[in-house]
Amino acid sequence: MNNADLFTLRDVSFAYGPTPVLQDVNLSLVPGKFYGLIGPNGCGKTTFLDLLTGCKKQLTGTIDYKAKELSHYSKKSLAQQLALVPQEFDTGFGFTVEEIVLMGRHPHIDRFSAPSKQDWFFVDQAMKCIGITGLRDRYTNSLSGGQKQRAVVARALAQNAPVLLFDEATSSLDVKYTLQIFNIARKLVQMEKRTVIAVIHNLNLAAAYCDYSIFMKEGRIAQHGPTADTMTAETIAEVFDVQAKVVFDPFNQTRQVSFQYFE
Amino acid sequence: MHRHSEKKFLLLTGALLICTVLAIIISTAMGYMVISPVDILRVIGAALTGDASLLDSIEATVPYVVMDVRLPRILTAALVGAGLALSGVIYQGILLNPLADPYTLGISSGAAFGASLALLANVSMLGHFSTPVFAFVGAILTLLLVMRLSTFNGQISAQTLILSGVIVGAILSAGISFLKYLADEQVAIIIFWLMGSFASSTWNGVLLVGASLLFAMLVTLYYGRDLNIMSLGRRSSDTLGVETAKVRKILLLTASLVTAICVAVTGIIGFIGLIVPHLMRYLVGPDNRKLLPVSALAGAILLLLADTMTRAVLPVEVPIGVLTALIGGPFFCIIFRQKQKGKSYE
Repeated sequence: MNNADLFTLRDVSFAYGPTPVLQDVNLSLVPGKFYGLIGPNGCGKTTFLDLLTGCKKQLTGTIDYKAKELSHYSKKSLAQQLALVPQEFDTGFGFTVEEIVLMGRHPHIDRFSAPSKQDWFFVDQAMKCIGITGLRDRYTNSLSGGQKQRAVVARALAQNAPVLLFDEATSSLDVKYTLQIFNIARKLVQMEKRTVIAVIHNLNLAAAYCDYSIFMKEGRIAQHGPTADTMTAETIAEVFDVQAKVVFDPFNQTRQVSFQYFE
Repeated sequence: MHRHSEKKFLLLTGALLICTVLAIIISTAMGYMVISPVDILRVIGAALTGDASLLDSIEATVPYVVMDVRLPRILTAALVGAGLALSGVIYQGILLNPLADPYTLGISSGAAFGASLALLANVSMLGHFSTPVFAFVGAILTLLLVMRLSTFNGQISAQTLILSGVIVGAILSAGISFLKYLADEQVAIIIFWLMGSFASSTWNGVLLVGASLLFAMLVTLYYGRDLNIMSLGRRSSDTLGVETAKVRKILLLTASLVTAICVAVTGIIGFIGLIVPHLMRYLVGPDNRKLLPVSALAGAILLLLADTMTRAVLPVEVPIGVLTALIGGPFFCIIFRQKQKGKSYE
């Protein structure tokens, strides 16, 4: 809990009606790290991200971003700091991919201004980085699930925020594009000292990319720490209720997890 | 928002603007008494500049017919068409449902119920504005009820929205029937007003609709880009810096205000708010900053044409609400079919 923290959460809890979703969350996140948010379905991961982005307001406790209460930021100034890649992506009306990516510049463009040269630069850069420049003029409702997801990642990149939050951003992507997105995220962390906080279901991806893992279970933080220390068979058994084995994979130079269902 | 379509948009806006002006002049010329467009321009010029010499050589009844009979009606029709189309764009944009419009959401019925109540009780405490105020309150209450009915777990479900609108609309229709029953001898006033008509339009009505339309246009253009981004859903728009909850409230209130005033001035006119945004989205794309002005212009032209048809072309004057429903109903069916087939151009 010092001023160098990016996020500081104290005694945070949240509930939908009488159902508690998050309880007694105390956590500090520092800048320049790749965080993995790991846990079974319905353990509160998405709600956790929603609290960090200010989409939802915690019932008790406080959340500080850069030593200032999150609710004291305007939506616009927060959007210049935090970019979210949501799990679902739907637009009822047919915007083009380029228009969707340009929406990432919204917090940077004044209300009555047209996008500047710099805004277009970020848009072009983001599309090139993800490799969707060829889809520029396609309507988003004609895209496949994977293409849509990549367009949304490009939008978050165009937002050019120091913090990126991924809510299972690669759930519709094949193995190649999944690795591409995770590599881009890792580069942003390592080269530009940005922070990535990602909800990840694939434990092997988490083991390969995350500096730091936060394991959640039933609305509480079960375990958190450097991935090398926390990604253990015991933690996985406790959190997911499956038998696990963690081995070192010489091909990737990372830990790999294999599982068995408890009969 | 798109780099290359600015020119097309400006061309279309210009063309629609010219068409609107032409439609106003031509429909003023049409009717039982045919008046030449030149004379119309001179009468309008005289009224605007106060220069009586422009009226030389024009028959004495012409200025009266143009200024007091036809223009109030024609301008009301154009402004109401623009207002209904504008609220259609807003409702569709916010509720992410291409079938949403003031009519299908039950808002028009709510406004009509409020206005019928005012007509029946002969409310005059607010003077000229009694009917519009009651219509507005009815519209807002209906909007809140429909949204409450279709909200599950804090999310508005697009699937149940229209259904809720239909349910609430049906209850309100029954309520209006009950008011008609109570109205006894006054029932004719309510019935004719409900069917929608521009026959009794006044300059006061023109000013009222015009002012609310101007206000709504400024508000919606102010929030145009936010409205675009809100089509991505709440989580995305919140994290892209849009005050989603606030903007949604402001825009829904604005659209309901315009709908309520349109209904209060002319009765229920359906489908304009549905058809026009669809056609225009097809032409200019989904960017609301373009869609709003072109839809308003196209709505003005469409309703003015329909009203001129019933006033000057058809042998008997069909109530305008009936005419738009007869034209718009089948169109609604087509959109519905396309949407079900997943082939909608949206």
